[in-house]
Amino acid sequence: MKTKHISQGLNYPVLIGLLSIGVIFLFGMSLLIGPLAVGVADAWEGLFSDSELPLALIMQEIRLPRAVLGAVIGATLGLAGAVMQGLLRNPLAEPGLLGISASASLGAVLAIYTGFSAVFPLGLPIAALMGAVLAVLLILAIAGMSGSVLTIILAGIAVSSFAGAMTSLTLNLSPNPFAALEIVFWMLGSLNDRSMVHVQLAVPFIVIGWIMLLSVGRALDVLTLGEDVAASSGVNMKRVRLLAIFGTAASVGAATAVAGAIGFVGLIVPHILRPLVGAQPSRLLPASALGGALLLLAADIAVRVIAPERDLKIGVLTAIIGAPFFLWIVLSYRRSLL
Amino acid sequence: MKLLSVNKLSVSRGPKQVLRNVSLEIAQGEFVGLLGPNGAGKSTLLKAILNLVNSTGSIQFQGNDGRLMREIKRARYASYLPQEREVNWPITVKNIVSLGQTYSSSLARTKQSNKDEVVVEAMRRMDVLQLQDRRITELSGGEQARVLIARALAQDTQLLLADEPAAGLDPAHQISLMKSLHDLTSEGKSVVACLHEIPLAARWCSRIVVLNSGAIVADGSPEEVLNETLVSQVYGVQTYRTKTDDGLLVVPTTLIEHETKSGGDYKWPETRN
Repeated sequence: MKTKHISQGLNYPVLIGLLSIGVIFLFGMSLLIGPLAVGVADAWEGLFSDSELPLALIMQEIRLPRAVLGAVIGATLGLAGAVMQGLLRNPLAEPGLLGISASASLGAVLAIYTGFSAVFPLGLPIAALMGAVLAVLLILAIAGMSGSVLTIILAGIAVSSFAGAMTSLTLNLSPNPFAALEIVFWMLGSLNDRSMVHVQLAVPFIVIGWIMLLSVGRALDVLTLGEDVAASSGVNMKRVRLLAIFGTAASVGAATAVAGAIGFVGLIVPHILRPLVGAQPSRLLPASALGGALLLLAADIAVRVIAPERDLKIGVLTAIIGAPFFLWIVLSYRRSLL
Repeated sequence: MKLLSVNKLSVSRGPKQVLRNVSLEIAQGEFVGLLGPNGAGKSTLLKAILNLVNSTGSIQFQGNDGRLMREIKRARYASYLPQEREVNWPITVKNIVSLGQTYSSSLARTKQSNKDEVVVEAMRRMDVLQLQDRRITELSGGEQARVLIARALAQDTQLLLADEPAAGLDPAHQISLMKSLHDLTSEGKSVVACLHEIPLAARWCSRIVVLNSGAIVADGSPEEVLNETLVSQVYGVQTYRTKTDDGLLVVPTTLIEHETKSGGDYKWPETRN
């Protein structure tokens, strides 16, 4: 890509600063946008008031969790995508590659199918988290504790396909069209109707996952030159692989558990930002996390603005914008190769 | 104290023994050329020393057990240049070379200015200083090779294990590479380099170790080792050998027919059929 002038012109702290300002701005926008028009001053008051007034309830129980989840899940997808691309040294890698989102989805789908989610309010996200845990154990069992990158990818594909097939089977055997519709809608991915309880459930796992993922930044830098160079210059590859896999499992598993599988964010965001950070993986991680938060907050605002009454699913929107954008990336790569 | 002592190192790949009972000691200031035909086990030996492949036998870096060592500690004793030149992202040359210093801060508690000096010095030695702001993916193969050698030099270890460092370089840069490695050894560091360029090895190395079929078949000064008999028996080529003002000159000239190759003291590798 012809981004040389940008990569050498844009200073890293400036980039991080700009992305942070963008995230804060869109977080604020996310709080203000909804069926009820709220002014900035009222919104602020509503957020911090102890009263039982409808405005306080709307701000604290509906809009705040939605904005928090948008930022946190977007950051998770951006960060995990950057780590996966760095670990596998492949620009096509994305958080779903390990089969964790597919398995978390399967857990959620089974919870809906069996009625577990209707009996117990947190049944769905908990079942989804269990799905993610199972996926990781399965990948580690197949690829071995010190498996090569290729075996990890192949194991991930196997787990992903199997979870996808089981999800289809569940849909296939679904007792009535309403259950099937609920399952399909859940799988499209959404931040609608999420409460603070969802935030409390997901955020601890997500933060633990972030810490693990951010800790591998320097190792990913050296990994640019291959595993042997990394190992001989001080990287414990086994530890890095485990941190990346468990970090992705914890953060993406929890993200999928509360919001469904949201595609393309983890694939595209690292791509957009890579030229702006001089392609250095350790610098890409924080930038990509902020970029993911920015993109998902923007997408979540967009679904509310475009079709306020239709409950447009955010996963649908990210795919609609993401796929053509990805094609554009592919085309510009091809041009730079010619 | 020896920088490296390897005792009875063996590596098996399936039923095949790639290295058998290799014992080797590297002292300070040595420039060791590791020679041998394709498949002799040269690369495997370097990888086994660095614990990158499974092996049996003992490995010691300055008297410390290399097997029990954590990666970060081993990285302080030896740096490594693999034969495969893998570069994945379009990172600038300076940032690539700086990767050599990634884990040095926690090791040697070097100051940032010190680290920068090491990086600049490594780039200067490999003649890539003028390329420092270019992206490595935009460079030619030979330029990339020099950048990757500079990365290994920037690790600033007593011992450098380099797998075919001269491959893909033009003659001028081959000579300047060998001179740079020679300079390192005169500063008290040691270099073990797998080489296929017999003339370079003869001219620059202080010691030649010849591997064949996974075993060391000769070890000594270039004058002793690179004689016509040995080279013809190990490589199957005739050589022109003479002494010049610049040192020993050994140049492979012609292939030896198969009948005349056998019957020597050295066993032929099974892979050479």
